[in-house]
Amino acid sequence: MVEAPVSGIGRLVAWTVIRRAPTSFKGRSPYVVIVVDLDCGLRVTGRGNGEIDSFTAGAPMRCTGRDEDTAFFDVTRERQT
Amino acid sequence: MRDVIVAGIGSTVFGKHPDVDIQTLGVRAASAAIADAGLSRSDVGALYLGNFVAGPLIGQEVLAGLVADGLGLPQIPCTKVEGACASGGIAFRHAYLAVANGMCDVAIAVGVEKMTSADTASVTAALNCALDNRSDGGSGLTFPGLFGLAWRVHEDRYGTTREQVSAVVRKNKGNGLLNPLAQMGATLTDEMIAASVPICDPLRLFDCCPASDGAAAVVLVAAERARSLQQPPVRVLASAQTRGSARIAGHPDLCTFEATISAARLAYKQAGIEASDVDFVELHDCFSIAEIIDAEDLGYVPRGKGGIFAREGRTAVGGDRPINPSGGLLSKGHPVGATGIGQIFEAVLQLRGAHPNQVSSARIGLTHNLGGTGVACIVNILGGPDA
Repeated sequence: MVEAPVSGIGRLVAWTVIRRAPTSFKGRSPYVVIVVDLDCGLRVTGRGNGEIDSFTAGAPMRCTGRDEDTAFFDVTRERQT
Repeated sequence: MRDVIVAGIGSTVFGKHPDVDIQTLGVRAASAAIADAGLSRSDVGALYLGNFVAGPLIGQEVLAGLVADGLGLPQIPCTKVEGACASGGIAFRHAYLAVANGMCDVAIAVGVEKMTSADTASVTAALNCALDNRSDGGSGLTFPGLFGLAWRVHEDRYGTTREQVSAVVRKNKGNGLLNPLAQMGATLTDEMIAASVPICDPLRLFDCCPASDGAAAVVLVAAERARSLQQPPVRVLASAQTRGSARIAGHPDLCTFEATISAARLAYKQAGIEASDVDFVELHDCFSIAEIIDAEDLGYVPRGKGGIFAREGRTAVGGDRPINPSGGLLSKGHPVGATGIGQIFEAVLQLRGAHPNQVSSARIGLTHNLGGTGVACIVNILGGPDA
């Protein structure tokens, strides 16, 4: 198996706001966990940047980077197609 | 395969047992089940034990052998099984198979968990062992969070409302008030539920099953040997176990559990019945929205209508589609490894005609136990003496 880079552009499937966190995330809540369908065909779990009420199902998303645990996404404006 | 009877049942109260160690909890439930069956411990040919987090949370493993030690069982095979929240159901099914296949005439299935002595963050982290931590755990997702995601999809697709989901909570908490095994029964209003502490939007405190300590056990006996036993016979008509994905990405639809759909289909086929023949179900309401999703996946209520059926009272004890007359996980709590066996306990009481929330003329009952992200599912169908 080899690593293959993919585009971090996709659509928001669902999101939730974690207010009671597990031990290793204690102190960071509230934070938003999201499920994104990437344009390349992969479904990924990650974290959402931005205001809690900015997330709606189907919103276009863009990966902004990752830390050692997970990938982070912004809600973007509707793309020109 | 031979016919198998659930000959004896035993359970501790589910709740806080700060001064009782995990071995004692298991032994209490198991001895009660053996006594209820009118048997003695020397009759037992195999023990299966369901437990999920005793290792990470309290540093105790070898629970099957430990409980057998406490019971003073003969040198029989004792096996611990783990399938997250489905651990108890898996233990039940293997005890059933041991007898049905003729390995032994009497087998006992025990489920036990101790969780309330640890703080919430530690319990949450231990329960997160059931996530695929490589692909999903790193996001900081929790199990309430998983069902928060599922709720969003269900409300977008079917228009399920906060009030409909609250109807599930009110029903189960109300049923729990009359169940002596449930410590978290309560009379709640929609306002109280909607105002309770947010856990992970849209779930609030009362949408979540409480962590709990507890143990439950059942004794299974070959029907040909069960003739002289003291309780009205409850027969295992079907026991089906399936798998699903441990990863969120492995679920094409976030508000359906494929493992439930396939286990239910297999179970109805094994029993030779349809969903409409079932008189009541005890299903896996780890969260309020889970009851709605599970009932639809089981084919017990029409797809997308789980919320409406709850709001219209059709899933009440006296309704046409009773769900969780025991009060479910929402009011009994979820001592994880014990839950699947606790459901059998409740179903057997119903079929004996002896439940505090008795469903009238209950002849056929279904139990549904679901693990983690739907990674394992067990559906059992039990028949009372008149089935």
